[in-house]
Amino acid sequence: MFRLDSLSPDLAESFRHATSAHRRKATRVACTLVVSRVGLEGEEVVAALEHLHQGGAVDRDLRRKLEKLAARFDDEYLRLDEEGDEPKRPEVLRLFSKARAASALRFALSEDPGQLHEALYEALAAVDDATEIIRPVAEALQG
Amino acid sequence: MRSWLRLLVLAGLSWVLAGSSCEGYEAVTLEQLRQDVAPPFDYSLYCDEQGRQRVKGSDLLLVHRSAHLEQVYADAQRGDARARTLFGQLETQVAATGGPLADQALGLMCTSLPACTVRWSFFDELIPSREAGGMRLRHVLAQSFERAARLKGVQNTVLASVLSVLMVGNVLGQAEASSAGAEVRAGAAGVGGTTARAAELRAALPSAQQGRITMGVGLAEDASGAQRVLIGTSEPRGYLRPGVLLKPGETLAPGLGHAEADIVNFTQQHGLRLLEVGATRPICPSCAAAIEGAGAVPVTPLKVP
Repeated sequence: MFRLDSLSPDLAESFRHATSAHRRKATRVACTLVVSRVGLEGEEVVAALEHLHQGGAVDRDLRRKLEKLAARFDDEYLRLDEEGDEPKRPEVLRLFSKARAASALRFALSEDPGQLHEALYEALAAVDDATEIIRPVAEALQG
Repeated sequence: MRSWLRLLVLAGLSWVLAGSSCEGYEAVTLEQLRQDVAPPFDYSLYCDEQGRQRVKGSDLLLVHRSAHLEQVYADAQRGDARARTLFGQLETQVAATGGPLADQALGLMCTSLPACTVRWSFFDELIPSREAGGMRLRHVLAQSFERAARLKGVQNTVLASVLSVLMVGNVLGQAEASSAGAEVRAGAAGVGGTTARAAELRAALPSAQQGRITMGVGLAEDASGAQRVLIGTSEPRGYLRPGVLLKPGETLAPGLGHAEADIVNFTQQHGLRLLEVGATRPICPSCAAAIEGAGAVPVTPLKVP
C-alpha cells in the first residue's frame, strides 16, 4: 500500500504496472506542473527540474537542499497554522503547497524508480484539485 | 502519565541490564511492586467516573495486579465505557514505551545483542498476567517495539527473540509466540484497537512533526452494524506524512479542522454512528465535546484546559 492509494487508488495501480521509464516520465510531468502551479522558485528548484528533464546521476547535495527547502516551508506553514488565525488560512495553504512541491522534487530525484510514487503523492497533495494533475500523470504512466 | 512511562523504561532497563555488560542506567527498585498486596477491586482505585486515571502511578499498580487488570479488560470487552477508557490509557502508555525501549536497549546503549534483549523477562514481573488483558498489553508493547526496532534496522533474529520473550517468556517458544500474537491480534479490532492505532500513527509520524500534527482514529459503525475505522489528520487535504500509511479497510476523513472534529463531521456526513475516537495528542476540549456530542467516547487522554 502506498500513500498514493489514499488519494488516487487508480493512479497507484497504474504506477504499479508502469515501466521505470514511464514512472520517471510521470514524475517529471507531475513535478513540472506543481512547481508551476504553486509558484515554487529557487536555484535548487531549477536544478531539480533540469535534472528531471536531462537525467543522469543523482546529485545528493541537491536532494539535501530540496529536503531543507521542504522542511523550511513545512515549519513556516505549521507555525502559522498553530496561530489558528482563520484569515491566515490561505497563506497556510500556500506554504503547505510549496512544502509539498519541494518534497515532490526531492522524492523525484530518488535513485529507485520504485519509490517515485512518493513524488506523485506529494505533487497531488500540493494542489486543491488533484484531478488536474492526475489526468496528465496517468497518461504519462501509460506511455 | 509520562512518569509511568519513564518508570517503566528506567525500571525495566535497569532491571534487565543489571549485571550485564550494559551500564549507565539509574537503578530503580521494584520493591514497592513486589510487596504490593492488592485490595478488593474497585475502579475508584485507578480512575474517575469517566475512566481517566486519578492517582499518579495507579496505572502501574493496575498492570501489576493481574486480577484487577483482567477485570478491567473483561469489562472493556463487554463495552463498559469507563473500562474502555481506562484500558485504552494503559495501551497508549505501553505502546509509547516500545520506541524508547528500542532506542535505549537496541540502538544507543547495548552492544552485546541479543544477550541484553533475551533478558527482557522482567516484563513477567511488571505485567504478570498471562490472560487476555495481560497478553493484549504484551502484544501492544511487542508491536510498538517491533516497529521502532525495524526502523533502526535491527535484525530479524534479534527481533524474534525479543518478541518471543515478550509474548511467551522464553526464547524457545517462537511458534507459541506467533500463536499468542495472532490470538491477541485477532481481538484487537475491538477494545483498545483505537488507542493502539493512535499510538501506531504517533510512532509513524516523523519526530519533527510529532508535537505539531495531530492524527485521529475513529471507530464507527454503519446501519448494518459493520464497523469502520476512520483516520483524520490536522494537516490540509488529508495529507499523510511519509511513513504513515492507511491499513486495508481504513478510510481517510479529511477536513479543514482538527483531526478528531473531521472524523466527527465525516461520520455525520456519511450516516455513520461514531463509537470512539483516539488521537496522537491530547484531545482538546472542543473536540472532546464534539465527540461526546456525537454519542462517542474519547479513548485517549484529554488536554487539560
